[in-house]
Amino acid sequence: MRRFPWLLICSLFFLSSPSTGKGPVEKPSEEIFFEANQAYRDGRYQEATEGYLRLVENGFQNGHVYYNLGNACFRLGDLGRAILFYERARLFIPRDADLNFNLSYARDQTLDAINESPSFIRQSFFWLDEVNLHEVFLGFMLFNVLFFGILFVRLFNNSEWTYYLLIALLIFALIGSSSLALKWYQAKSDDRAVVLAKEVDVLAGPHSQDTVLFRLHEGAIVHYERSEDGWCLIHLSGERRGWLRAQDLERIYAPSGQG
Amino acid sequence: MTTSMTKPARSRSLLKKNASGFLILLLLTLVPVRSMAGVSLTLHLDRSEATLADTVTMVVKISGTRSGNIRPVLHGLEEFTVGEGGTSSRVEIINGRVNAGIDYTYFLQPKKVGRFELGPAEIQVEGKVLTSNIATLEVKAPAQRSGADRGPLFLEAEVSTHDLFVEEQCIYTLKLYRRIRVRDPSLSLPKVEHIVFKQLGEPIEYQSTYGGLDYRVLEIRYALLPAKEGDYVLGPSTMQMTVLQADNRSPFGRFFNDPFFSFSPGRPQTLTTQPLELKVHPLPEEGKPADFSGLVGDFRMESKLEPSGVRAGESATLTVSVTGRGNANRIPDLKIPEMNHTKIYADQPVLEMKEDEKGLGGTKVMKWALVPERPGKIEVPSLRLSFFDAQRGEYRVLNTPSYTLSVLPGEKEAVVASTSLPGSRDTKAGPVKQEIKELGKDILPIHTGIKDLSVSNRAFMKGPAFYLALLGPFSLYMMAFCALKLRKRSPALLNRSRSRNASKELIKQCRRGGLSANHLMDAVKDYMNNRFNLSIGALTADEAAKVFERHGVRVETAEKMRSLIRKLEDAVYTGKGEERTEAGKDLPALVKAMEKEIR
Repeated sequence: MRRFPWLLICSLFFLSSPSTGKGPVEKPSEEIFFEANQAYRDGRYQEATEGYLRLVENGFQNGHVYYNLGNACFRLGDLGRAILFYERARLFIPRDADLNFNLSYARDQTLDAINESPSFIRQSFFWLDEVNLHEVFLGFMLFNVLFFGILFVRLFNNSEWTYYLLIALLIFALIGSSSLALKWYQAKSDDRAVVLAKEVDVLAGPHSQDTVLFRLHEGAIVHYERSEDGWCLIHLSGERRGWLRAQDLERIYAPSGQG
Repeated sequence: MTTSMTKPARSRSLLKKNASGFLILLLLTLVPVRSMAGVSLTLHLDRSEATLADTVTMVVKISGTRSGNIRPVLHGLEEFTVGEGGTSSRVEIINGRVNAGIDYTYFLQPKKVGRFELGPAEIQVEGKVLTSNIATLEVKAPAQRSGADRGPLFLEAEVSTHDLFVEEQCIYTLKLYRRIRVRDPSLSLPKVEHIVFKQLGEPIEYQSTYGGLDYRVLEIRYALLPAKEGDYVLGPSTMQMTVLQADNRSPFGRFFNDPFFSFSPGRPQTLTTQPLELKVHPLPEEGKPADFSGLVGDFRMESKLEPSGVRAGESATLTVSVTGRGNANRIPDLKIPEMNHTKIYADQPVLEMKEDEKGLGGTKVMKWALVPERPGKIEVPSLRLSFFDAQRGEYRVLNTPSYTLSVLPGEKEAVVASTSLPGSRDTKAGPVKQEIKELGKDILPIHTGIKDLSVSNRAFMKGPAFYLALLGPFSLYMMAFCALKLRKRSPALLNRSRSRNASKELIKQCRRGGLSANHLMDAVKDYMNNRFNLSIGALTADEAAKVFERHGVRVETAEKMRSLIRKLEDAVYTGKGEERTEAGKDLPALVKAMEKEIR
């Protein structure tokens, strides 16, 4: 009987809640996914895109949803967004064969020839492009546990084999930790952005009256530097730098969104 | 002493080794090599032209066997009088391979003028018939002689033609006829401006008749190449030598006149030839091709394109070979015209000059790598070469055939479909494989599985679990490490540990064996100090027994320990402390017994 006032208060709270009283009932995520898939199959690509975007907003940020989103955008003729979402998907599922094929095909459709040679560190840690951050972390964890495990064993058993095992695991642990650090840095400092507009002028300054330096087309991947009054400063792999409108490009790695 | 004994032994060993080597070599030479696979037969003439008065030497070489039972059967000698010149066997060791053979020599005297094909020679080995090549011999009528006897030694010169064109070669032949022995012959050729002499092969020697008399003939041939038109006179060639004279008055003349002993008296003699006239005509201007390079002689051109079909980006090789007799060094480097969508890479041409008794000649091989860039059919144009045919007295033009190169799409553009198992190379089995052509391109479909909706694991990398996973192993290890360190530092724990390990340590030392009384005494003392946490400096047997009894050891056991320690004391105090003692043998069992009794 003592619980009665609390039950009453809770019932009143839920009854007065806007989500149950006034707002529409949110569909389960699975249903949104299946509907979006069906819309894609039926050729209703705009609906499919909206469905996948809703999933992303609901927190389903994974490689497959981004991949489907990229496909839907590609079918809509939005090459820039297709590449944007394929690139985002690649952060999660870098070895997915479908994704790599579609991304390669979409890149082939772009007009701008931008050659970017990988850095020495990127070439040295070549395997990092084939794994996502989570996988690198798991690898690091494995070697970390094994390394400290063998250190623990050596507290009681100082035999020779444990010494050699310790050295081997130390090397792997160092490689694992440096890979993790580099991948983490790559993920956090990923400044790549995709041009979304069909054609965009890159200006010398953040004003529409400034000199046009060069022109980019949708799907071109540039490096974002900073924003200022609705304009973004970008650079290409060479010495080319310039400003373009913020709505004409979107960063691949969104700090608020992806891990 | 040792050295003097071993030297002869070593010599004997070397002798044995060498003797066995020689024996093996001897056996190799004695055992007739008779393997059908290695037997070959060749027929060789010492020259390709002769007169009715000459004797031609023919050698049939059988390689791979030295059996004298195999005699060649000769064909094509109906028009010749054949005389046997004997056999000679040979053994060659080249790069460790033994090659044995036997040569049959025949002297041929032509019966009539004409062009004859000599051979083939045939032998029968292991029931199979081997045949040799066929050699050609042109027999001419002997030159009209004056009929006068020219003596036992004279020199003659002749040219193959007196009328020729610029750069056309003619053969200048010198013949030394002799019926007496000569030595140290030396030759001086005439010096004529704009005419070059080029010796053709080695001098040959044969038997011939002149004016009804037999002579030995030494023949030397030269190719003459006139560089400029005009009338030339080839001055006399001069040959100097020493003529060996037989002293018929001496009874030992035949023996000592042999040049082998160099006792024969000799007299110097100089022979000269008659001058010869040459008329060199300029090359005609009429009909001279624009691309004429000065090539004169008789040439032929061959070409091939391999392979006839390639993929785009791969290369096919066009090879053109120009061969002939004449001034082959003037064969031009042919140029291949540019072809659409095809890269052309020319190899360095290879010119190989050759000379034989018929004159100078050579072969030039030119190669081009053709790399088509696009699939389709590519026409490789014909190549042209012009030269002056001196025999016909006209210019001739040679053309290669034009080729069609089939170009398939490159590797990047086509995927070979294969229904065979991976690794299978049997392309004959099953249907002919076809190339899969790309007809279109599109993106691959969406991912629709429910598992594709799973939330990313990245959330895990943000929460406390991430830091726990990151730092957990390190923390656990540090905790264990610190605990062990603390434990080791505690005196009570340390004493307990030492006490527990004391008996093990003593038993380990005893089992090691070979201990002296001093060492064993110290070990027992350490055992008691560690086991009972004492600090005994000098141990006596009675004190030890009391300590053991005080800690619950039975009197009998303590007594055994007392007597053992007393033995050790006796050894120490009688100066035998450093000697090995057997007292430690019983100690492990005793210690184990005490450990069970200690409270």
